[in-house]
Amino acid sequence: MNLVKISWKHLKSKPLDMALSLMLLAFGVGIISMLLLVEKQLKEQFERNIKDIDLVLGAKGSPLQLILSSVYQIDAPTGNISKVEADKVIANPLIEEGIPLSFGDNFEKYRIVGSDHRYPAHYGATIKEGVLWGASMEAVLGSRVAKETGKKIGDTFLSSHGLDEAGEKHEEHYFVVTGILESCSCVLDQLVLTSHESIWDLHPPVEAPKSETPADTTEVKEIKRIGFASMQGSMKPSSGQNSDHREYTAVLLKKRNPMALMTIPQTLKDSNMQVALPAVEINRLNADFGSGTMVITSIAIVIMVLSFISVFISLFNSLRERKYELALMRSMGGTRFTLFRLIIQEGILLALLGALAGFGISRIGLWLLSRLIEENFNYDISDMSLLNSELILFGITIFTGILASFLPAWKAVRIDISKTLADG
Amino acid sequence: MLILGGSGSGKTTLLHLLAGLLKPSSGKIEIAGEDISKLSGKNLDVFRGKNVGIVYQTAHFISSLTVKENLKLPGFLTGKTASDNEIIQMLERLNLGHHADHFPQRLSVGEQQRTAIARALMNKPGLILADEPTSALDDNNAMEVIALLTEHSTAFGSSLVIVTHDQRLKDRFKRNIVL
Repeated sequence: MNLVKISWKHLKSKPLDMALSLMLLAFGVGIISMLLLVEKQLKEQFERNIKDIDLVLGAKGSPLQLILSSVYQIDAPTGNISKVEADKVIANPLIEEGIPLSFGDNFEKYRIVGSDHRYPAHYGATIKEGVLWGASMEAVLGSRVAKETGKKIGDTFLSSHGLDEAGEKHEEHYFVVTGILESCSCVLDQLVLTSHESIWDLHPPVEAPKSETPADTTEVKEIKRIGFASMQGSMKPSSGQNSDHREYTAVLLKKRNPMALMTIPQTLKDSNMQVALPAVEINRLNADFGSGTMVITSIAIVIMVLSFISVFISLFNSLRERKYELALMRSMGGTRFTLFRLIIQEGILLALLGALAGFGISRIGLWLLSRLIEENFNYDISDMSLLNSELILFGITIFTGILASFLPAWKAVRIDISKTLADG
Repeated sequence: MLILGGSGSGKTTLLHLLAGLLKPSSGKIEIAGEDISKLSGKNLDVFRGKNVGIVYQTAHFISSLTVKENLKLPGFLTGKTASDNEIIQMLERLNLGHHADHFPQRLSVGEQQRTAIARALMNKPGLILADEPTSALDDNNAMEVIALLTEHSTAFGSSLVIVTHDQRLKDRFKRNIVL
């Protein structure tokens, strides 16, 4: 027998009161803890992927869309830009480095991104098996892609046009897997990387095969395409601007000089291109998220206050019924402090169970949400480990329990035992 | 010892003074050589728990605890928890063994009063105080309760003080005080 057991037995003898308090506590804690988890993981993902990218060059359109599509690979691209024009921007002395990307196809909903080896190097990604891509139609799979699709080195696959699986398949153009990347916990995990040439081979510029006649059979067309692409591949941008119709989708730029952020946008004024600043766009996005988060946080705080009131009322109410029992305990040798502890413990027990249930709820919620996010955006946010901020939340919850039981406990201390027992 | 008196004559007040539940405004109360009017707070609570067993007019229990757990309380609250064995023995003595794991509300009024007596005896107190222990009971139960109280207080060497207005008890005690 101990005092905690007596507290617990009393709570258990009032299952409805306990259930109400617990439910409110659990939902309050659950919502807040889930917000903390999601916020932290999204922030981490966002920051990791933005690493050292100062500017993104792409087709005119929504700058946020450009950032989301090219840095995070979660939105449709704003369009394509001319390789020749893009190369001029990369060559600008204010720019230290530019990594061009060309994309618009997918393999089982995982985006296929054409780039050069600097792209994985930028995120410090290392190869786990095989080698990086070389020739056209060679592909390297991100760790998640490899895991989910089960493709191995030497396997082949067809890509689909567009960014979802339902897109038209690029028949007969098989990619071959040459390597699989180690997980970098970054955007590369959910991408299929290949060379620009692969993308260009699959999407010959429309102006190019002008000689094509209706009489051409599919076979002939293919030969022409391949022939055209390999010719393109060997061309240097300087070897005649008019004939180079190759396109990029976006270019990730790193500045050499802060002036770049000011002057580059000016130089693009009259072109069909724009540069967007990831930091600015993500801050804007965070601000939008922030107001939504604020609303949910406020609701959670209201629920927490209600749970505080619920704990208080259930302890206070039961005090009236228990007055005699408490006086009885005093008459049997229990001290004032015994009664005080008994009731404070009930508050703590409720808060403890409520907090634990809340953490359970937040994990279940996160699991459901992460499945949704994975399905739609291929991002993994299922890290369930306990956060420091959750420990603070836990502390606050326990404190709430103590606070809510303090007045009832104090009342118990003040009980006039002689009068209570005589009236009993 | 039996203290007889009509309602309003101060029987319960006297009993609460003896138990240290009330403080006398003057004078002193000595139990086993200890002046309990000088004890205060925690010391008084613990002294009472160890030395005084109280039986009330109607039996009250901690309703969320079983009979057995209720009997554990006096020992637990004074720092020497009784073993299950001791409790079963006590319950058997009062013919309540089969109720050990029941909740007290389920017992009949007579059984409840017997359980209350068992609880008062648990710490083998020097003094047993009973406040109208029979007034809620019929003749048979009342006589049984009195028999148990006298029998066990004698067995434990405890002094027994009963305050009551129940005239049925008058002839059962040699030492009577009428208020």
